[in-house]
Amino acid sequence: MKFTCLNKGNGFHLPPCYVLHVSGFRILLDCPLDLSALTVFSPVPADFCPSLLDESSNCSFHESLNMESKSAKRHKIEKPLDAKDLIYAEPWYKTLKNLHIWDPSFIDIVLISSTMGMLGLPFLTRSKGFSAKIYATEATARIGQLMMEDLVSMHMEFRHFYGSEESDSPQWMKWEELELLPSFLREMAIGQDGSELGGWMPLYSSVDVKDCLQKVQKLKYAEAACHNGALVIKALSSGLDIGSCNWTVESPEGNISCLSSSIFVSACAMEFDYRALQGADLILYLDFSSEDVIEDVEHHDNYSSPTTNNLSTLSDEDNWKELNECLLRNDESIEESKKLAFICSCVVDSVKAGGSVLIPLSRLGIVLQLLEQIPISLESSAVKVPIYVISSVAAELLAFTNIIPEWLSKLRQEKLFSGEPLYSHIELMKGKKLYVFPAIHSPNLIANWQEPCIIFAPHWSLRLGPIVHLLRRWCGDRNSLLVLEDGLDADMALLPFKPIAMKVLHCSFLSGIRMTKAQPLLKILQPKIVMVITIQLSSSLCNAILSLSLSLSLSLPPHTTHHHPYTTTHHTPQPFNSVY
Amino acid sequence: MEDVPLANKLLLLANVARLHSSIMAYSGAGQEVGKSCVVVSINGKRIMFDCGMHMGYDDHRRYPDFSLISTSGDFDSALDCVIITHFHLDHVGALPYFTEVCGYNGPVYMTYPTKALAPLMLEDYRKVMVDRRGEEEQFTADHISACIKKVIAVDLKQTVQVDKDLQIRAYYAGHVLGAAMFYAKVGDSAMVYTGDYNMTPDRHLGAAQIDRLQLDLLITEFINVAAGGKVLIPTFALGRARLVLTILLIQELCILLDDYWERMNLKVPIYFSAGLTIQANMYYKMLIGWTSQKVKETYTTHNAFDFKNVCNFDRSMIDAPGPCVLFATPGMISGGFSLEVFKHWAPSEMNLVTLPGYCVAGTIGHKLMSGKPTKINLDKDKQIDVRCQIHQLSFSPHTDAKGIMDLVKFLSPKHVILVHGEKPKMASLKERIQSELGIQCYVPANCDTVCVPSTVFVKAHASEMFFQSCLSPNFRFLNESSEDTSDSILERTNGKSRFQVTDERVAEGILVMEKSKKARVVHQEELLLMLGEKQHEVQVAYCCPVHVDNLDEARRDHISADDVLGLSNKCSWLQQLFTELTTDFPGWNIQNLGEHLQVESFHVSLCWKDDCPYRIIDSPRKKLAAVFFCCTWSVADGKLAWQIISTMEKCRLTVQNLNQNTD
Repeated sequence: MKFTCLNKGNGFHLPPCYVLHVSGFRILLDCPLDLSALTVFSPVPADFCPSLLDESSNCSFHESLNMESKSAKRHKIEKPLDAKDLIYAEPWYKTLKNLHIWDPSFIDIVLISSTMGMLGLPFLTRSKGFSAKIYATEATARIGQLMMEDLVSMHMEFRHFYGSEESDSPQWMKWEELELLPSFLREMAIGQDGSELGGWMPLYSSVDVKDCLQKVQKLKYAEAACHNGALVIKALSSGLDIGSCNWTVESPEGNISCLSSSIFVSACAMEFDYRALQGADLILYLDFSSEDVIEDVEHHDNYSSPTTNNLSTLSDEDNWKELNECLLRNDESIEESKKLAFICSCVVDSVKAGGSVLIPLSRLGIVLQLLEQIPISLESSAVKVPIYVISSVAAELLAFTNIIPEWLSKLRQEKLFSGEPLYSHIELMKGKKLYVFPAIHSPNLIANWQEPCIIFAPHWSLRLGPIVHLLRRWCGDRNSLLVLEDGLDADMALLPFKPIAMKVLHCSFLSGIRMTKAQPLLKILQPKIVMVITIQLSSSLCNAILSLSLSLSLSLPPHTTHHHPYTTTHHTPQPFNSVY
Repeated sequence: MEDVPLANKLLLLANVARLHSSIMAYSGAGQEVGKSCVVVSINGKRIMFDCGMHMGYDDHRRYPDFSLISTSGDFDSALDCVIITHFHLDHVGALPYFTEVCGYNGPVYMTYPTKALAPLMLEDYRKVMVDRRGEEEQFTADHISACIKKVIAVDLKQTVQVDKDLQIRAYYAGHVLGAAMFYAKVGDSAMVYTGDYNMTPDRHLGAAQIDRLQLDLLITEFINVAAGGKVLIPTFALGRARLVLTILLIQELCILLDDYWERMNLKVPIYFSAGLTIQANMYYKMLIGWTSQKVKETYTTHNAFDFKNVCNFDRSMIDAPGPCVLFATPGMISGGFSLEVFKHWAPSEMNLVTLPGYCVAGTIGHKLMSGKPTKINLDKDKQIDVRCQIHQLSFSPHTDAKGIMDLVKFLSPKHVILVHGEKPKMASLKERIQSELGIQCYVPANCDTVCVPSTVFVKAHASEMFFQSCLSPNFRFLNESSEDTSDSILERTNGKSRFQVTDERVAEGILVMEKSKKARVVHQEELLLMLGEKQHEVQVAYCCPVHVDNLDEARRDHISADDVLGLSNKCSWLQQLFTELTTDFPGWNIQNLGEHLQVESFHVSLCWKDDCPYRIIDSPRKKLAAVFFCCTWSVADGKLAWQIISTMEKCRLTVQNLNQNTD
């Protein structure tokens, strides 16, 4: 078996991407898009209104603007970044640097672990010679399709503004142009050594998305898919978000479990099915999220240490029970719900002060909970403001979440069994508390418009979609609130909207296995070998594995660079192999 | 002949496991729907499929006889799990009784829709029993909710590991929302229990879907009921009548009506009476993913269970003029709203009452279904005229014989068991399955036990040498006779020579199974090395008499044994035999080695022993007229040896040489 890491990923929105060679099959795990790199582009300029301008006028406008910004750039190179430094062009999208050097015809199987791991898939499926079989869970495929369609529809605004596509390589990609970029932006665009430039692609079309989805074999959780009579592939719930999964591959060489970011007790998605990963020969420990929550480890040490001490003295059965209890302790979910409650209180405060609230549509699970809890908070503080969800796919997405009890957490399933709707948004819509519109210029929205209000809208990169226009409207209002998820470079993301008077609430949500739970988890799973990648290997995980006397296989450390705080998002390790 | 010395080392591990199916407590008589409850033991695991109730009885006979599973009542150790295929009472009705009253605490599996809808059915039934008939409760509302809490919901195709050895999986059955066929596997033995299923796609449910599985046993339901929903529409589309539909779960029909009204632009109102129907609709909306593709696809624009033409009914509307359609509960007209409406509407022949497929004995529904009463006693002194039309309705499609044949053919199990149907029809279907498909089929009676053998696969490791030998070509050259009318290309090009080359690879190896070792397939030559044994060869010996002319006379002249020996030398009978054989077997390399002759492993020499153990003598006369040759050969050359021997037995040697020499 051979394992190659293509990208270690970065947080929830950019899952890691890697290639496995098993029994003669090449398996690609996940195919994400680095959407945070979109921030090198400018959003559609402020005074552009898609419904009012016709093609010819905006072309000249664009030209003049371009000239102006260009001359500005020449003089300002090493000064602090300015909105004018951003690239004014139809954005391209950054696929993983190391993926495009792979011949797509060499891939036999693609496994998709989450909707985020799917967004780059049409680039792969539309390339020549691609013939791999793609596996994804039904829910991931459906939600992923909606996300991609939304991306395509949001991108249309750029098309209208910049006119139809120019040539194979746009102006901004020429070396002379890139040279002019401030060093920080340049690095985001092309990487340290310029090697990442090849990863940029013009966005796929909705036809590409449709074709891509046709090549996906959709599975249920724990459905055994037999590939070519040689491999048995199963998707097991990971708890990260609705439909996300960990893959297991049974091959003649042994059983491999790919442990992606997982959450034990999830409020929305079906719980992490870790018991099904028991008895694997090899676990690829691919949950890189522990880096993000490393500061929390000390915080939670008081939970884990008594447990670990007790372990040796207990009988096997008690031990087992203890371990399971340790994993399923709801401290994490309590913490997450506290975070949500805090967001709700901030939302209420802003609305009371007469400001509006803008929440980017990012994690489905979080958005669904907020959609449910914000109205409750509003009601309890006797505030009446409308909530709008603005996205071309919002209606379908919300309808979909109410018909998929099989993919939801135990708690949500209880709602089905007691005859209540899975989520309250249908009732809220009927009660005229929640409105769903496909676009910001929908006639109904304009007719309905009321401020202050609470808006959920894409895209979390703050570069495209309705959120851009709304942000421009409210960024000067100090009573308004923007809720931003960590993981995105906030300075960079907010650059085009500066100066900003509105409040920005940064929040981070649990997006993987905590270090304190890694040890009991591995103890329960008892794999023969655990494989981790050194870049993410903190000493505590390493110790956890060694203390269980499991075999540990370390990948070679990737090419290391100095750790500039901005480069973390775009730093991708060199391809490296580890063979055992 | 066997390589006897080696046989002792080959220990076959294949212990043939038995898969017992004991079919208990189902009813297959007449038109009534019986109760389903099938217990299967498969490689030591015991599964109960369905736990149904018989609607025709109101005493203990309505429940399956659980004492057949365990006389001690310790059901937890007697059963590994209970699986429910769908929410109809004849499949789930006895479950609360079994778990809460009998005390079964093990796992119970059903699909998500079944888990959601079964408690509604159970509660409705319980209410009818208690409210209407004041009967002592067999189980309470708390029992139902406690029972359902224990249920583990499963998704279609999800592989569920019940324990280390037992694996189950649900497949879409298309009978009602959430109906599933269940696959169970223990070790290498596998089976499917279908429950009720439907092989043709319905308007709102898809057709049954299952993988091509390797099965030892298929247990399939067999009920032949025509779907009534389609019959109904022309009846009430006339728009005159007021119609009461008193059915437990009518979502299926609602969709049908709603759609029909939409298409035909009918203005006749459709009403729901409050209660179960509306409650159930909530579930149907959430479970739309379990309906057919067509219904499912439209969920965003219009959830098919958000009925456009259906509205709530108010008591004041009962006597309002004009036609309407009303869905009312309880289904068996055992009381409540449906009874109230029935009292008002029954006397007019313009009206139509439809009843569910089954009604509990003692309810008005049951009375209406049995015979055509013109008057019905509501209680001791109250009586109403019944002039309205009565229609009995079953709209959940069951499969027919063709559907069963298709499924059996598709799955090609080793054995089929038919349950839950009418005796004569089942017998004829059994015949068809056995004759057309060649599959053993059983139609057990209640409480019968059927045993079928199960499969055990042995995984064997194949040696390198075995693979090598498999890869080597096995060419055969055939010279075909000219009468043969094969139309090969060779024949056409040069008419005379018909020459064919075939290469049928034959894998020859030895399967070695030893205790506590993995089974292996090895090449013949590896075997000895592997077992650390010497090679033994089996030699066959036969002492063959060859007639010699004038031998009697010669014997008389030379009496002593020495003389006979001398005689032979002089006569060189071996030499004579050599000559004979070389002419008779021209293709063989026959060697004369002085003391003996040899062809391949065939070895022949003169035998002088009078009591040679390899000699078979029929008459002493023959003995005198013959000399004996001892022949030995190894088993492989048996065919050649017997050809040579038959030649030897026919040929005649002489003593002539002797005479010449003495002369």
